[in-house]
Amino acid sequence: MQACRNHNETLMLDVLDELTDPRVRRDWEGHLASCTGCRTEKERMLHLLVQVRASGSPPELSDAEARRMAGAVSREFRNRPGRVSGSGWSFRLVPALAAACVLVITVMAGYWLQDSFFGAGRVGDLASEPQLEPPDLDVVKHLDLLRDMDTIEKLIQIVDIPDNGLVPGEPNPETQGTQPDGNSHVVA
Amino acid sequence: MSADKLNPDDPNARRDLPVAPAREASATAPGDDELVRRARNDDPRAIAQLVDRYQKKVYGIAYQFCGFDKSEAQDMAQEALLQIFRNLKRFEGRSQFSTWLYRVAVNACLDSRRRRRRWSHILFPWRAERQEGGSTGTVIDNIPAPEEDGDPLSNVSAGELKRDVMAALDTLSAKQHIVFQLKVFQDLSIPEIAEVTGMAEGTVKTHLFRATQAVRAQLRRWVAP
Ligand SMILES: [Zn+2]
Repeated sequence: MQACRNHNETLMLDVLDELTDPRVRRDWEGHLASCTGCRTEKERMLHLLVQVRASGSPPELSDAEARRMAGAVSREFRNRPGRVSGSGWSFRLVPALAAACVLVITVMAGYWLQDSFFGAGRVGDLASEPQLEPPDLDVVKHLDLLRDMDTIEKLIQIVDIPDNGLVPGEPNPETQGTQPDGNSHVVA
Repeated sequence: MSADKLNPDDPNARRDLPVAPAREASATAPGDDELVRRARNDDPRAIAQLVDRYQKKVYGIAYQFCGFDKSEAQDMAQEALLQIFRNLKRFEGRSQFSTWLYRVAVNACLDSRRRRRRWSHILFPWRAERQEGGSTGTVIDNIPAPEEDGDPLSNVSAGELKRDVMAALDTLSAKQHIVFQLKVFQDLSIPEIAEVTGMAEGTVKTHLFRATQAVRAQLRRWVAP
């Protein structure tokens, strides 16, 4: 059975112990005596409020916790004259540090991701060619000349092969261990 | 000033309403007025005594603002206490100290929660996206596990209930949330809530009614048949 809608506010005031007007209270009690719906709803509401109050009751502070809190307040005011107070600094410092860490990590991650995903594909890299140092440029410039020199050298070697069939510059097994002057000489 | 923030200097909020039973001076403990007077002159012992006196209350407010997370509530409560004592010189004694303390504490918790959310959006955007559904966007994943001891079934059930309560609170507007929290968790009366928030009593009543209806609808599975 439902409570009477027109008594909702009175019912709420009653369960919150705010029904202070004696006339209103008397009328309400008269109604309650005859209305099961309002009576039941009042009991339900009272029970619900007990549960809500129990849920919102803070757990007891231990002595140490209470002392710590009181100590923080006392410390602030012990040194108060001329002191710029640090309102809740301990709490504010934590998010500030956390924000700084997040910022650093984000920047580092940003660089890393940029290198991983876009390192080879950056527009600037594709547009530019590797620059050579001047000495390297010199080598490239004379590359053809060097190749010609190589060919000439091979030609000379073929033309200059002596009758003994040895290529100049290669050691002669017969003259091994002798001085160029022809004297036999045992190499120590 | 944002719409959901309380103004500690709001003249409407300076009526002398009994927000909490005023701490009277006794043989052992001085009253709030005496301690506040000394604390305003930077008396460290008075500050320590006031912290000791109101620490749990501020921690409770913080706990309900930060999505039932104990360690976050401790940080938030510490920030709120620092705000309270930094602003102590602005307290003019036109209302109860406890009223003024509630107001500064709620504002400090709102600020703190907003700041944490901002950081959470920056550092954990995927988590923030999941929070978009709720108007206050509490991180419901961080509900601490229920106590290890006791009946496991009831522990699971308590954890689920806590999660559902938080999700239900999450659907409330900021004003509804503040009003509901001050009423249901801090047990302030409607005139006291009006004093703390600077709203008219009628407005408080309207917010409270809507909040209660919304929470009732969200938690229908926990309502006995
Ligand atoms: Zn009825």
